[in-house]
Amino acid sequence: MIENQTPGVIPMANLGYVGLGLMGGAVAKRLLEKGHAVTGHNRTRSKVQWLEAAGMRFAQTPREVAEATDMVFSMVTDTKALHAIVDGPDGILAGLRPGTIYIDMSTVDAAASRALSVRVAAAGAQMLDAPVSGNHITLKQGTLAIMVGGQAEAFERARPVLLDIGPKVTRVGANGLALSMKIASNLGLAVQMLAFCEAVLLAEKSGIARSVAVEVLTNSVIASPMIKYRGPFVMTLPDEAWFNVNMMQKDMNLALAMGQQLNVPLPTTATTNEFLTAARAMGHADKDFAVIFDVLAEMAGVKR
Amino acid sequence: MKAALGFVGLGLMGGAIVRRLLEKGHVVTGHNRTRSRAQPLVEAGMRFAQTPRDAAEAADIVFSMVTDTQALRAIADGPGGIVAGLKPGSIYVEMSTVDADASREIADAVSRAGCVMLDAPVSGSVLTIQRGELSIMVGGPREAFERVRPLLLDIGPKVTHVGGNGLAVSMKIAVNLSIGVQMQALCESLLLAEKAGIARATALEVLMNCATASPMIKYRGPFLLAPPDPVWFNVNMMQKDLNLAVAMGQRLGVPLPSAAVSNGMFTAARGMGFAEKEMSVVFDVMARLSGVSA
Repeated sequence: MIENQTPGVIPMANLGYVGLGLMGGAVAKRLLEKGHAVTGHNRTRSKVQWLEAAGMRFAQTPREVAEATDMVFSMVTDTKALHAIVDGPDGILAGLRPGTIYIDMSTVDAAASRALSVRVAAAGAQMLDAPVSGNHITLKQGTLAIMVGGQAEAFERARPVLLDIGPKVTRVGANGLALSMKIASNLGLAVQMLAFCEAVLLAEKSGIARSVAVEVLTNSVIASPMIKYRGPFVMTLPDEAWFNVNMMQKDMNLALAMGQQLNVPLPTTATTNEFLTAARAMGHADKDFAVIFDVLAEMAGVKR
Repeated sequence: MKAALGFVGLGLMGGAIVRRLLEKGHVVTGHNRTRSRAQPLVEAGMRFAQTPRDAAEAADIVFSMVTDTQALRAIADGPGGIVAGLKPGSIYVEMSTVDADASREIADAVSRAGCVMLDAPVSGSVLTIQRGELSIMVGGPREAFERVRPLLLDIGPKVTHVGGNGLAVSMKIAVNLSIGVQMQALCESLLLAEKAGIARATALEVLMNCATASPMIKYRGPFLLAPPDPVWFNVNMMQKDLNLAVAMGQRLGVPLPSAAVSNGMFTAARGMGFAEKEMSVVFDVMARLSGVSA
């Protein structure tokens, strides 16, 4: 299954990848760079020519990807997109062979992921949920953290390949639990960013230059890795969103639904989510979610 | 020749800074309301002054660090206060986190006495000081800032002049609101993970290594499993800073939704009898609200 193409050095695997967007594409590129054979599929083929140029084989359907490989990855936007690539005659499920490991890296509803893992098991394969904490930059820097849910045995088999993607790989428990953990940790992104924007505007209206305030905050005790890379976006938003308002709100909605289902009140999550709604209403849905600064600035009567 | 230093307010943070200054070879004359608390520092070579005024009279540069605006007035004003003891040409470096307007008023009084005041609040904890990683923000005239800069660098490596008098405490208050909000969000994340079926220690480990793991979360995260003894920063202190932020926001016209929500949870902590506990006790509040034992 995993063969040594460079004997005694690095085990190379025959990998599949479905969903080659900003993150998925970057993961596939990294796997190619590590010497793995990758067969990939993306709904829009033109978007993956750069990966084909880097040695990726293109498959016409998700099913063909699964049929051609021992370990299949996927990373798509939401639960609906996940169903679109796994279900039906051309889906991943139809192509899975006994013994294959299917690793879904999307951030989707934990219950949906768990239900899918049962169907994968029925096909004689094993599924792991392996969402990531980080972005395409952290990925390129090789510092991505991966949480994994699923059976320990499948995790151990997949682990060397996951370590080729990022250095911090943690199994948190059974199927679906890595997603629960990811959703729980992601609420902190938006909440921390809102509090950061509050601080910048408070400092700015006190008379401190915005750039000085950002400099102080990104070097203070509250400067998480996320604040260090996203904080400067309140000066200039990136042309291409790293994580847009819609995506951030999707994760907040997943957290809030989970909180209601498990009876965990999430006061700062709920408050922050309203500001993402305002950002969407103000026409910022596709911008990086750091645009909540603009919402708060508008409310504070400050020009961006 | 090293300048003679004074230091008023030798609590957990002030005491740790004095210890560091003594270690760097400075001569320090210190005052604390309760003398017994200063005893370990006296044993480490600090001279004790009977009043804040005495500490100021003995020094070229006098520091202070106290709990709140009221405590600051108590050591700065009156015949036994710091302002009464300042010698012409000396610099008063005030490190407390207090209201910016109150800080500016004292700076004016210092200026009338022929001296200069700087507000120089810090970002960090006792641990950050001990590791030599404290960051210090400074507000006030640049010339005075340049004179004390080498001394501040003996305390911590990151010293930033942010503007005129009062602006460093404004910046500090703005920074600190995130301590409350980030801790609250951390508790929400942890309880969500725990009730989903992930062991608390595993979830905390993940949260302390992900994109939201600020230095504050890295050092305070373990407090959710076992609170520190002695307490570093209690619920009352945290709420004092959030109240300063919310008041500042109202005055300046800056809405602070996450700070306001987080402040409400610290009110709950006080209501539940946790006022003197480490601020991470907000986890216990959220755990009770979630039907989980802390």
